[in-house]
Amino acid sequence: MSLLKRNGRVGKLSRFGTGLQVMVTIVLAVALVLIVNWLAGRPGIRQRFDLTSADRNTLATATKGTLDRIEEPVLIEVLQRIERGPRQQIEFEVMQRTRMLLQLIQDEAGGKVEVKDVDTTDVVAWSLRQKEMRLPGFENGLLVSRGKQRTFLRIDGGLAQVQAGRRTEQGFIPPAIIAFTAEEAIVEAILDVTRGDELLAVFTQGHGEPNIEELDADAPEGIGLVAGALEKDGFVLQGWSQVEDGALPEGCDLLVVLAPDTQWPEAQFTQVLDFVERGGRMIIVPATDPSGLRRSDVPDLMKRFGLEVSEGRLATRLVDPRTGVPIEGRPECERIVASPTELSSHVMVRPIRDAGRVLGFEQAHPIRILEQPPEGLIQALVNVPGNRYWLDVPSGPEQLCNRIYEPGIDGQEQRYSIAATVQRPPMQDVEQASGLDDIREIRIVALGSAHSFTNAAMRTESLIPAAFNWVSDREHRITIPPKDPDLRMLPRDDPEAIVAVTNFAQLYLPGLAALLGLAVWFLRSRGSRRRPVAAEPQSTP
Amino acid sequence: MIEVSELTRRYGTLTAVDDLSFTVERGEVVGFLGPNGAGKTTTMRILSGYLPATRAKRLMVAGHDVLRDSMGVRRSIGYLPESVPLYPELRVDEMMRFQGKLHRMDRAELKGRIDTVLDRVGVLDRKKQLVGTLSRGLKQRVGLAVALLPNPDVLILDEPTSGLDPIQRGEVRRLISELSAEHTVLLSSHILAEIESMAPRVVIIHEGAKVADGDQASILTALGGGQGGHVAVEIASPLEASKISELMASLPGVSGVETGERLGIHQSFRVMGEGDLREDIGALAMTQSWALRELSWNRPTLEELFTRLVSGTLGTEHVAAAREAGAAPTAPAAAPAPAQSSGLSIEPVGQGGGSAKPLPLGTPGTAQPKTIYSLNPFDRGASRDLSKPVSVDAPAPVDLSPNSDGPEEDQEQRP
Amino acid sequence: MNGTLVVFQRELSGLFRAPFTWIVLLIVLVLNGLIFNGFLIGTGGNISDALDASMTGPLFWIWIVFLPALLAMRLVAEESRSGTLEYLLTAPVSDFAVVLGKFAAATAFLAILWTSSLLYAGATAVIGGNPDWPAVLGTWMGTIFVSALFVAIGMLASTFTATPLLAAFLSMVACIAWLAVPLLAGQVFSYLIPLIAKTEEARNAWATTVRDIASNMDAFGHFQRSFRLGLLDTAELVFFVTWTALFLFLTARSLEARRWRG
Repeated sequence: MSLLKRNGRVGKLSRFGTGLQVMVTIVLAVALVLIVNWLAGRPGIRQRFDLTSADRNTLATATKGTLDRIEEPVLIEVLQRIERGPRQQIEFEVMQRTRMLLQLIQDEAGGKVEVKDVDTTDVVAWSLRQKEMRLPGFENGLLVSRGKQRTFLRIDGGLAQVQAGRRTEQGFIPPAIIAFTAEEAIVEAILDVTRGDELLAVFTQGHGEPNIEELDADAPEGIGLVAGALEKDGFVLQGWSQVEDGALPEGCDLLVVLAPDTQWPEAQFTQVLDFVERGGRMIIVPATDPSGLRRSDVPDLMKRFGLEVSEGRLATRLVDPRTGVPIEGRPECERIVASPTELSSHVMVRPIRDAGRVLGFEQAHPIRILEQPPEGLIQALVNVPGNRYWLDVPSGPEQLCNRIYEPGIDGQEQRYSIAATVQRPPMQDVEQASGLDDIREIRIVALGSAHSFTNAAMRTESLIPAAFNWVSDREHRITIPPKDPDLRMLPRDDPEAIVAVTNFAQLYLPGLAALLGLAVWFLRSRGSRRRPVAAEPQSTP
Repeated sequence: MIEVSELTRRYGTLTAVDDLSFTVERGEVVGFLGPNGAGKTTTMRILSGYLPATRAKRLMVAGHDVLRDSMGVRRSIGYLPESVPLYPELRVDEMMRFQGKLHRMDRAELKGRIDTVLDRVGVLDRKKQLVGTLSRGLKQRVGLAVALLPNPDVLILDEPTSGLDPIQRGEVRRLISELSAEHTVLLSSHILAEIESMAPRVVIIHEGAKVADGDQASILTALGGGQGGHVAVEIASPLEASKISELMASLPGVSGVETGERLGIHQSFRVMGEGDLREDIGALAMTQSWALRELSWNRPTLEELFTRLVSGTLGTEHVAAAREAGAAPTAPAAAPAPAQSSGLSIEPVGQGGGSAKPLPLGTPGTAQPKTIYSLNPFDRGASRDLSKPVSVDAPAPVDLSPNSDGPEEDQEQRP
Repeated sequence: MNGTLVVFQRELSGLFRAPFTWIVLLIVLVLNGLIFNGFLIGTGGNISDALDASMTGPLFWIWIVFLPALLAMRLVAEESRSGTLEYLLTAPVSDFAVVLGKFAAATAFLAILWTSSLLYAGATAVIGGNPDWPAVLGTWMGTIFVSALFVAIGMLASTFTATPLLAAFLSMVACIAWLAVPLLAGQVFSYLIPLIAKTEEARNAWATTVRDIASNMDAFGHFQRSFRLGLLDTAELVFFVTWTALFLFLTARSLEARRWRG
């Protein structure tokens, strides 16, 4: 303000000088504004207050926790293009809400989550992306990635629950958003791609288990493929034998007991039991051979957690279609194919069931649930009906399964379960044993068939990666309640109501303004027009 | 009360006020006289704190430094710009109240003060009228009332009588004369008649520079007013015109005789010399038995001097020649900046000699047309306010011959 | 402060004494009412949607471009032309107080306009609806912040000329330009970037930088991301307040520069 005046006094600055000074002032002021804005955007300084009653703009605690724990940057790409059609409005709204959420997530994560828009006009790049993600066509959604790991979140069933538009007698009901589930979906996707934090999976060794050091990835019977898949998922595999290595390795996240066929030393059994009872995680698979199973500690171990493994193996009732003679004694008898209806809704098998695919097993021991624990849950994953399968039980202690149907030994059960999960609180209230520290609970996957680990099984549909992920609590670690769209409607039962409101907005309020305006005009003009003015002063010279 | 020392103000390359210095003592009424664009308004705007000065040694108004203590100046002056800025949508008393609030006047004090001031300027009965519906003269009074409201030490009035009819002008003039008892007044006008009747002291500026300062008599003397008179003579005589002029020139005190037109048997002359020469010429005519039709002494007025001053033709010969020829005075070569031919016009009005049309003065280098400043390159000049009053000056008796037929018709006539 | 208040009072009362203002008020109320009713009926009585449409819909942004221009024209250019600005600037109040007072009056006028949506919300509440009051108030506040920013922009633009219509036009162009900043930046730089950057990575880096800067200037985006959602975000608040302050500062400077240049 006084700057220019001073110049005026000094009088030495030319117009150019003054102009320069003004420019400098302006530049400084703009710079100041930019700096203040930048500062205000820093995570520590920025504060948000959610004014909505439904807390639409607030992240769940679980989300914040997850974001806190991310160690490596995650990239979220937004794929959004206006798709004409009845869903245009809805998709737009979902994407808007999602963007808002991403903004919150981005700010909360403090640089660990990067959000960027994919240039949807770049057709070439997009079609490559599409191929990579195995998408049928363009779809609005999010691509969450970290390095090579990526997950695509679509709108339906991912970012929101959408009720499809439908025709009724009243006419077309447009599609509607039932709930926004984007927060959970995004956080789970982030968890999915960030599970690079390595988990130590300890395989017991030396008692008939496959040697973890010498894995075969080629032969159908080898388990090299499983090991490879697990390593990609971030598991570190390590062998352990109490006799050679002493105590269970420090930081063991989960224990794999894969088909031992001889008895462990007493100390090993105690350690394993202790590990699991304190809230440890275990995958347990019985040996294929009944005598080996009998010798091992697997039945005993399973019993401790409410499961019973049968020595016999399941066989399919096969009939020669030409002769009508039951087929027996052949390897294909022990091939079991579980149809989608025979899979439970457990998260491990649900994707397979929902996709309508089948799950194959060979040489599987049925696993029976003895009793449900007082707290927690034991669930059967695959239930095959008794009318299609029979139990091939060895007749004597030294006998093997001979694949010959022996009516006397057949179990009476209606259904056979091939796999089961145990999920319950720790039995011993002691220090956390597992590295998975959020929820202290016992998780066991008991799988009837060691064959599932083989390369042959891995080349088709396999439960194993899902089992590892579930048991190590990597799937669906969080549950975030979906946000409802927070509909606020006028009372429908009162048609007068809408009329009153519309009249108010359309007639009364503008009318009031018009009246006020007229009143002001009238009042303003009255004083000077009507008031008699005394003698014209001009008239006197 | 007002002290201006070496004030310069430039608009770009154009110097509006050039090294101007003058002082105004307490209780003085000083008229600021100059043609349009002479720098009067610029000087007043600088004094009121509206415009910054380009350079000034000292600028004091009512004891405050204009450059340093602009707020102090603003509080102690009443400034009435030429355009008489009033809010048309307000009533007169509301306008006054607004002014009072701006000057942080006490609420209770304000109430009485408004009535006093309105009464003083004679618009008390218009208190409730909307400003926008007031006539030009009333507006001027209200503007004056607004300026007077905070009872300022110094009143700066820019062209307080412009746009008024002669009657209104007389009233405003009287009002200002009354005000001089309590306030120091600096007023401007390009109409000499106003200044002569209102301000005992006159500062004449031209092209931004001061050309004369003092009371009217001293200005007259200083500008050689004593030399400027002439006796107009019309004689019917059988003698040759040159013979007559020779005879008249031989009279004591006569410095020169110009021969004018011959109208029928009458021949007009103009006799220049010291003092009143009528008696001498009358006596001569009697002795020569000339038929004397006219014998009148034309003393130079301030107006005339002023006109000559601003037209750069202070020499009597030029004016006389121009008169006789009935043509516009030619531009003197002495004019400083020939690049700008502004076609500046003056309106000589009042008793000194008005003309229905402004006298076109081909004076180059005079100041630019006054504009309301603007940064817009397209807007320059165009922003001359259309809402400003149109001059309603009535044609006054002509003393100085009209020169409307001159080749340079007024291009920059005030709207 | 006193000066600001006095100027503010006069400008606001001056606005409401002019027929112009009431005509604007009437038009805005009628059109906003139409939008509100249209959405209320169209969505079968969804209060949130109807309020959102009337407070933050496209119409709001059209007003935001037009009204500040008109107000700024009245408050700056017209006064400059009629000379009342000279009166104000020689009154014993600082230039900034005058600018601030005028700015506050224009903003207050717009705030009064946007209050109509609060009245709609009130009307729905009276007949048994349940508007999400905190969010609605937050959005309303946001509309005022947006108005303030654009009034400041409009005032700055209208100080560049004393011709009212030209001033209004300049203000409008300035407001539109400010809204179109992100778009313009993208357009302009899509031509410029290949000239600067040779490699693909460099181009991408440039594009990202430009997008970041543009999105930082994007008043529309800032509003959509915070106030419109019922989210009070200090960073967005700072954005609106600081830019408004900057434009006011520049307006005061510009007025001063006009004197300087004469």
